[in-house]
Amino acid sequence: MSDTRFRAKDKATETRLTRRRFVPVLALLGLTGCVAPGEGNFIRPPTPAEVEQYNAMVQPEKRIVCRTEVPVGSNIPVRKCRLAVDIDETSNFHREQLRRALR
Amino acid sequence: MQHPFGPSCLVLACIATAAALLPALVHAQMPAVFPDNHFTLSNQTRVLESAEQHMQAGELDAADIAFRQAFESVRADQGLFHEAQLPVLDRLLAINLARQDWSQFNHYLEYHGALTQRMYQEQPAGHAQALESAADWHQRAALILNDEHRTWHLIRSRNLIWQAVSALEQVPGSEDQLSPLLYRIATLHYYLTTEASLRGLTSLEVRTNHPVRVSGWSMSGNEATQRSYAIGQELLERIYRIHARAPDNALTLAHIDTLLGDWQLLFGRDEQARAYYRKAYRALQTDPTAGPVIEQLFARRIALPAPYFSSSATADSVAAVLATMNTTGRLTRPQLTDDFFTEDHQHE
Repeated sequence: MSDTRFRAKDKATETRLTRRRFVPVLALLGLTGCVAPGEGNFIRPPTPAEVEQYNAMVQPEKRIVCRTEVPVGSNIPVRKCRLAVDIDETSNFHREQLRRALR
Repeated sequence: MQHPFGPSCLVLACIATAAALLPALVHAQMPAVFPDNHFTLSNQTRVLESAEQHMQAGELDAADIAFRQAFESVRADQGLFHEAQLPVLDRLLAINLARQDWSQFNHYLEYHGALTQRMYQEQPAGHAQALESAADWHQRAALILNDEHRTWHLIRSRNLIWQAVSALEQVPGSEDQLSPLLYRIATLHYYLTTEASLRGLTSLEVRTNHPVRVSGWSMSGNEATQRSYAIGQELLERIYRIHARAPDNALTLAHIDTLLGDWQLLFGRDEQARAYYRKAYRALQTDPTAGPVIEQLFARRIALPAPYFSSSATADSVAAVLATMNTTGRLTRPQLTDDFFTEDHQHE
């Protein structure tokens, strides 16, 4: 009889311990959820050599240019990669807007 | 009502028609052998021999015509995608390089690229070799040309070597073959920043595959030099990592440290150069068998960029070809007895 009680007690303790073990795991999962990989997180921009290797393999319209830029409102430089075609189009657009504004 | 001639007459008529057509068909299947056409193998050899003779005699125009004839003959005989075209194509490239007929030269190089891509579709190692050979041709052209044309050929050469690297990366266990190619890309970067015109560099790199400048945003000269330094540094560090995986590789790693030191020196970073040379020297001092290597690396002046240290003859010959481009007074790797290391001795 007492043996059965002990066994039941052991089982209850074990369940409690298992639950306790789960708590830190759940907490850790919750924390990692806060820094889930999203846009910008964990994505390493390509190195200059990687950019050059990629550009050597594709047609001109798919080639990219990566530069370190300091965005407006921040002092932290960020490495940004863009399609060369896009850079030219944006620069043409801005030039045109400036011309219109100055007229 | 029954037909007066019946089916037997029809069969007879068919046989008669077939008998009339058969000789014509057989004749069409047989290759036509004309006494004076170059589509026969013996004639092809004769054309090639005469082309070689013209070339030996320095009659480049005549040699060009003869080799073109031979080229067409090989295409007709062996097929449009046969590798027998490659040696003739090489001769045509050599002739047009000597004649400085750049449109023909570029045309044959483009053909070479398309042909080898088709030929080595399933053989990345073979394709890499063909790309390397095309890169050599571009480098030879860069030696002759000036200004933007030189820049374009150097960029094309660099792109082709990158393509060769990408092809070799698909082959398991080919990492050792990557090192000389990566070093070659680094040296091309050095020559691009020092011996070529930076005008139109961005355009030639990203906007077009042709030797024309397209207007638009472009990188400043200073930015281009910094990028070249960064790429060379990254590639040399990659070479170091490739060799660091092999056991008992202290001598090779010391060699690569010396190349890293050279790279700093080429871009005016003397302090970092000293650090790399010091690291290499100390590593070699711990090895009792490294005496000859120390002699080789630090006991005499070596013109920079130094040839790649592997025993591969091609890597050395390419470096030698490139070295002749250096016109702005070559930098040399300092000797241990030089003032360059004086500061180093004070620390010790």
